Amino acid sequence: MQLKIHNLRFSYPQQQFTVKADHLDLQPGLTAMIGENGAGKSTLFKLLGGLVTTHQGKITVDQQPLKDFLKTERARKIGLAFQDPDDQFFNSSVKKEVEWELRQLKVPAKKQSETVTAVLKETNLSQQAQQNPYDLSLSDRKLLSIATVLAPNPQIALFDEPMIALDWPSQQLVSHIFTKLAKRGHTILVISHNLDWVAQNVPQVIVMGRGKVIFAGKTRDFLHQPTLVKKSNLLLPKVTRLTMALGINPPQYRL
Amino acid sequence: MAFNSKIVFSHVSVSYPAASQPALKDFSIRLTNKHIIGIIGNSRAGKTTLCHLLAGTLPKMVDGEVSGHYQINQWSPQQDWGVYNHQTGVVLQDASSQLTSFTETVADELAFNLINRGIQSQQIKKKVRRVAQLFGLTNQLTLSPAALSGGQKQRLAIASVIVTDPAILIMDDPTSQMDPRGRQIFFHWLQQTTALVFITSYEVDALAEVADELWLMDKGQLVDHGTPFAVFNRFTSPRIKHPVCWQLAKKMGWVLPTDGQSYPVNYQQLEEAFHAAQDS
Amino acid sequence: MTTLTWFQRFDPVTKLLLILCLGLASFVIPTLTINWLLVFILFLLAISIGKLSSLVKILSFSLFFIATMIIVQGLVNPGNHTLLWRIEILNFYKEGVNYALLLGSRLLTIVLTTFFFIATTSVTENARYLESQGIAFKKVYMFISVCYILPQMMANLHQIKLAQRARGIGQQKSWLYRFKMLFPILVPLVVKTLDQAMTRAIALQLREYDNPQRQPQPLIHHYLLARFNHYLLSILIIMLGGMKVWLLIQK
Repeated sequence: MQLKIHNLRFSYPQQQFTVKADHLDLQPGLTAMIGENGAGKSTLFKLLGGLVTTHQGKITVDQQPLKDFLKTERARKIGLAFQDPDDQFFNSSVKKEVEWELRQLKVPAKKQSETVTAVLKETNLSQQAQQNPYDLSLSDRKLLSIATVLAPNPQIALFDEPMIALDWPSQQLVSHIFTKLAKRGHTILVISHNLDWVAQNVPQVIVMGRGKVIFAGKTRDFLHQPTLVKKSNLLLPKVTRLTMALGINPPQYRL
Repeated sequence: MAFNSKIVFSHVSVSYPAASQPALKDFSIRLTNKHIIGIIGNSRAGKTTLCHLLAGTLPKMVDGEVSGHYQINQWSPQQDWGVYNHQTGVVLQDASSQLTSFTETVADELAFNLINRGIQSQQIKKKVRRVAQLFGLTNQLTLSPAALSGGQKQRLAIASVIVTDPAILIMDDPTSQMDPRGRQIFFHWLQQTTALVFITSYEVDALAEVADELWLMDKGQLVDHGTPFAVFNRFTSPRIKHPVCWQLAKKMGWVLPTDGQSYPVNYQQLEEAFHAAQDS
Repeated sequence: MTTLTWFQRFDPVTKLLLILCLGLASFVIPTLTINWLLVFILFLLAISIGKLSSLVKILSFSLFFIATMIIVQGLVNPGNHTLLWRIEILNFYKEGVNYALLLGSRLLTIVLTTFFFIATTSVTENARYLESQGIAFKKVYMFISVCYILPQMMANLHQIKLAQRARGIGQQKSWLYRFKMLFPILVPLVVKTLDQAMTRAIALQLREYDNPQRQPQPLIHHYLLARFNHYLLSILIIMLGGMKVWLLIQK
């Protein structure tokens, strides 16, 4: 599925800050939205997820305006995970939390339990299935919020800073899940400001700066433009900085 | 610079009510003259519990059963809490909730700890301006703390704590929401501080640069400790992230000339290993 | 310095006493018309401070609540015997409706005065004033943290609603559905707000909010006749309280 933006303008009431994007194409595959704190990433995230609709311009999913989607339809097609996992848990167990998503979308009961088992296994939460979500560690709560997005198998999935507070094994697990989904043709967008991770795992980037899209395209192409990286106020991958400091050629970017 | 610090943990265990496993198991360590102690480990390692012990908030404010003996410099965080707390600055994991929530401006929030200590308003102004500059908050001084982004709130929480120049700092993952520049500013500042610092973080690269001691924890236990160099070279499990310096050097076969088999963990060591490899 | 609006010339304690005083008055006065007059005056006051959108929100919620009360009381109040209206098979009685209207006007009095207080008094102003009156900051904090938990919950509520909407709630309009969907919003809201309050309580102790060295901060505004207002309103409150007790004994 394709998410397209056309002449988008949005600002919160009584605030100066405006998010602007003239043209943006989100193709199937893995894309990262990067930029410094306050660049407008989270705002654009809510717009793309169809949760904020008071904007000017158009956002379309496969040519259909996002605004016209019924809420269930939107939720089935677009999954979103917010930065703070604690904004969403209310069921008495990890298993029920994931199940709830599917019941909302009227998935048949038999399919439900199969899916829940598979998703919990995928996110390494099978052992905690009967625990209360709030008894999990922050890293596992974060994984659970990702699991709730994965369960309905949405064609488009958006994640706001999924790597924050994840420990190292979980970060690798989540990277692996994203890559796998992208290969299957899902459209995955991940907010991050960690170029080390992006350079190694994500082939496409949307770079935000002061509410504007300052670059959209191949990750490699962005990393090869020092002035753009500087403008975004981000730091090149550590390995690039290290090799440059040593005065030798940085390793080629894989993606 | 020599640091006059003393850290003693002797068979310390912590259990939370209704938890099946203790959060900290028989934690023992004895160290002197350390400056920055980095605490690393995966989820459920006991890092946050350790921070609460160091801050003296466990068991005083956080419910839990604590056994064993522990002491930082001349104080017991538990028994000497009042005096000890006056010496410490603590940044909790959820930094935005540690802001007072009733100050109207960033400047007022930064002044809060100073006002509590009865410091003169002229001096308060000076100190507030200084920390705001250190943490890149000068342009935000007149804004409401609620209007800041997550990363800015974290910087504000840290700045509000260090404004009193505490002798001991305890910080639980203080940079989790900061962008790369914010992190750079923070760790650069950390290196300059004269306080005794305990910091948990997933930023192993930064810790390898600034820490002189690393504690590696797993499931409530101290698995290994020593300099970042020693720990990362001893403990090579893929379950723990290694600094990029270490990974790069390992890939290139750049070993440190001192022992001919260990890999560098920070830039200074990397240069050394790189030049040794060039020479041979 | 900018000139102060009239409501900024009154100190927070005067305003608090005023809430108490008017609340009590509406409970003492049994006459519906006088109560309505009181509500009308308060309504004008509330309009005069601006912030119309929040006023509309609060009033619409209160009016919805009062409407439910009128229906229930009009139908089933034990004192009902004078028929007022008849809609299909439902009989509405005068006694019940009047009783609900009286309770409703009392509720509106309290809601409007509280709105007036919260909309015109910042937390900082309130805290500084109370502290300047010699109350220990620890107690001041406890008081204000109770008063301002609502705005905090509203901020959390916004985030939680977004997160749950992303998970697909809110697609049906039926009352039963809405009732069922309260749960996914309320649980995280309560857990999160409590969690933040606990973290904050710990942090404030760490930040030495109860240090005896703490100096009260200068007041934000210069207030008119603060002491006089306090005495006057306190006397009124005692008198109104006495009247209420007297009325209760007379019954």
